[in-house]
Amino acid sequence: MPGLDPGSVVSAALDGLALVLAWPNILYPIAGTLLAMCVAVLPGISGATLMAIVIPLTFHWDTLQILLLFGALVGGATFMGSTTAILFNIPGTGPNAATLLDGYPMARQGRARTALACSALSSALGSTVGVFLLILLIPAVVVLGPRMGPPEYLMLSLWGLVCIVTVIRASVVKGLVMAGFGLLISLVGLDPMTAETRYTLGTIYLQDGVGLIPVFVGVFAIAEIIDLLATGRRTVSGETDVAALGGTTAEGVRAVFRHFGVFLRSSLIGTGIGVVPGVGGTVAGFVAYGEAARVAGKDGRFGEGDIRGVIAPEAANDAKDGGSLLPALAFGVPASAGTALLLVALQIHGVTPGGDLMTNDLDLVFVLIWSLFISNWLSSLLGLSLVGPLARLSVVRVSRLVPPILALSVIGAFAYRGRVTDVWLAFGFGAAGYAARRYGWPRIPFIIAIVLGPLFEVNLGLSLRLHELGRIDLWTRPSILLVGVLIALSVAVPRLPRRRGERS
Amino acid sequence: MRRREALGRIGRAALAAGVLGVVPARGHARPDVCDALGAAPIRWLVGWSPGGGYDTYSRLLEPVLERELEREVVVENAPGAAGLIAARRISGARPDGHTLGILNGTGLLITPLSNPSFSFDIASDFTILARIARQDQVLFLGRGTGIATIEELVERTRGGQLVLGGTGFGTVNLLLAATLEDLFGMRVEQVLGFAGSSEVIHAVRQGWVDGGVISEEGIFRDATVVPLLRFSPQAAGDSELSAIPRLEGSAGLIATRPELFVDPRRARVDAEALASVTSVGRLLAGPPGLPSDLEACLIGAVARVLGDPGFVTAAGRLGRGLQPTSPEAVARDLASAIAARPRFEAAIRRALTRQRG
Repeated sequence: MPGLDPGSVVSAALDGLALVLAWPNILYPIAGTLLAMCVAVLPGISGATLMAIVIPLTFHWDTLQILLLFGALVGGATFMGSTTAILFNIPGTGPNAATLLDGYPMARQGRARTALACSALSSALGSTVGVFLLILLIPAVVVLGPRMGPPEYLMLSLWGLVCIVTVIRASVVKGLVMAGFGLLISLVGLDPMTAETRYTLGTIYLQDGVGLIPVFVGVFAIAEIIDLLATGRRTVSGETDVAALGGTTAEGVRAVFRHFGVFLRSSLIGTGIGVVPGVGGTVAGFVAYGEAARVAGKDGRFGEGDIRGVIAPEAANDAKDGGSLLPALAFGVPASAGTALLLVALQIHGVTPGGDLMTNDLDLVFVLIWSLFISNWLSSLLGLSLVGPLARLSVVRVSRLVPPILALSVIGAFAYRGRVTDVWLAFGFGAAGYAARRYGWPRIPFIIAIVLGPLFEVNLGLSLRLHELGRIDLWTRPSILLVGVLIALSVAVPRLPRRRGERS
Repeated sequence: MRRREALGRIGRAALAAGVLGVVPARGHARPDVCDALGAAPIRWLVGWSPGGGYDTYSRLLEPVLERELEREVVVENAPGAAGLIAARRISGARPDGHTLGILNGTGLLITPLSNPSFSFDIASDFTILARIARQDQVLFLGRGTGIATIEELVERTRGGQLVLGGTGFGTVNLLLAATLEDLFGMRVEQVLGFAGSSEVIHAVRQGWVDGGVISEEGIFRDATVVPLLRFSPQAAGDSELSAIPRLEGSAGLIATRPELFVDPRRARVDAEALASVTSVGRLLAGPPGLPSDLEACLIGAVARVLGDPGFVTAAGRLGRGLQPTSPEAVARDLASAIAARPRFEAAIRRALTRQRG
């Protein structure tokens, strides 16, 4: 890949922005965003599904039109997924899952408005940081990004797993046991290296492993439904009058600036993970969440409605988006189903990802990035304007709320892979999630371990195999040393003894 | 630029069409079209996620098949276990013509060699409607290896080592890579576990592995990789693939350069068996036991779809090769492929044993 000089990158970025803002081009990201937002309300149905439907309609389109529309489809779905996570404990998509860890507890405390507003602004600002960092760093990223390989992914997942320890508040032993269960569940299916079956009970269904969305839906949404019914709680927030709700939109907006360090760090993590080829938004959200919890230490109440637990994953998710387009367009390595479909759509029109695109048509790359950026802002602004009406859902009586939440949960679990068995799996994990909640076994380490387990396992295997064959030297890679230092610092910061001191 | 000027002309009309097009059209049954087929929509199962080759073929087929059958066709992605989940659903569906789909015939044939618990008898577990394309499997290396021809590869690696990347689940690729060892006498080390072919290509570019075996035509327009050897008996209509040296046949390497092979006689038999196995290809199928009139109607409709000029053009634009083949011809290929399969048991076992350490 030839080098790029910063001047030409800035010039291409401005050309791309001018193209997006030109009439009627701007209509495409707007329409795409609205379309994606409508679809994203249904959990499990992602922007990728929408793209797959739209692709056959774009055969006669111009390349620019495709970039404008698909940029919006990649970005428009994220915020709406966060709203269901905050209000109903249902993640719209995998990348929204980390948001519910503290977003929903905030809704239960009557602070849905704060959580929704904070989520919207964190998303929009995170996207802004991601895009501007990308403009600044694109020449370096184009050179360094592709050098990130299995060892770096391994260290990244290890960092995330180390962060698990920091989100455990109740009992370190219980937390580690739950993390262990999460890792065990992540092992179900075919061994990614050898194709041997593990814990599949002789079924084809489990060959593919345990689906993330059914687990999320079960452990959080269905467990919550059971809890709402078992405890006889009147509404999610406990209030029946919207006037009695605490929290405001302004409070959510201010929180982002009050915790600007968390926001900035999470945006940087998101951007960094975005430019690493092949790592998705779910990982970005959880790694940023874990790091925010680690830094907060004893001052944090993560998992119990800490607003930083909303800021971190939301900022990271959207900061990642711009960066994640880069490996797809520059090296042809998609980070998600959405970017994979984008590549398909571009190839229909003879646009091949690679060096030529990055050097000769960089303005088109920025058309995509700006379209996604506009989509992120538009969905966030629409979200902010809807905070009031959406927050009213937290004062709707449980008896009226449970049927639609249950329906959304079932749809979400089913739509993920189109399998009825996933719905039963969600109910199974729902019962387990309720029991864990009831008896004080933390669910967050379990979830983080399930998300990061496969990334850890496959990259451990690949790294060791490549090292064994002499293709990668694990001991001399600077990026490994860098992440290793980060992990060492994470472990070295003496927080656990202080927690034990607190409990005693 | 042309593409920017064109935008103004198309504008909102295209957007509106796109938005409206998301809503699937309802099919209306016409009495003279497939009488035996009910009016309900047809579920078309794809065993992989949106965006891949199987999904692309299916989404191109969908509107044309809808028009042919005058029924709504709903493409449903049921990814998992290298397509086995969708295959099982197709095989187990009621034989009423309302559940059809696309299968990786070669993959289904090879799976029992690495995973004996999960196997299908393609001939009896499905009703084959057609083959849409063979799978063009090509060995490629990174340009950074400095190897540009199969002759150079043999010269530089015989007695040495070749490191190939793979996904781990693509047993066809695993089979082909493992067979190279017997053909050319180099030790083939496989690094399995990459998420997809894009990741394998990325690893090749970075020099983490030397190359891989892949079936995607688009890769050969990439200047950073060099296609060396084609395993398929004939390319699926892509002239770029036709230019790549092939293994068997009168113009194949075994006939023209026998000195490259460890044992040319054995290589010939291996190559024919490989060609036979890979020729099964991508199949369009339904459940077993379809009533004969319904089966004939569906086979006819699928054949017309595969010859539809609009479909052929769209597939060509996407670089998706087409080799429409009748169910009878597929049955003949299947019989010879099943007979050839045991020949590769040892190679697969050796590759997996080495991988498992």
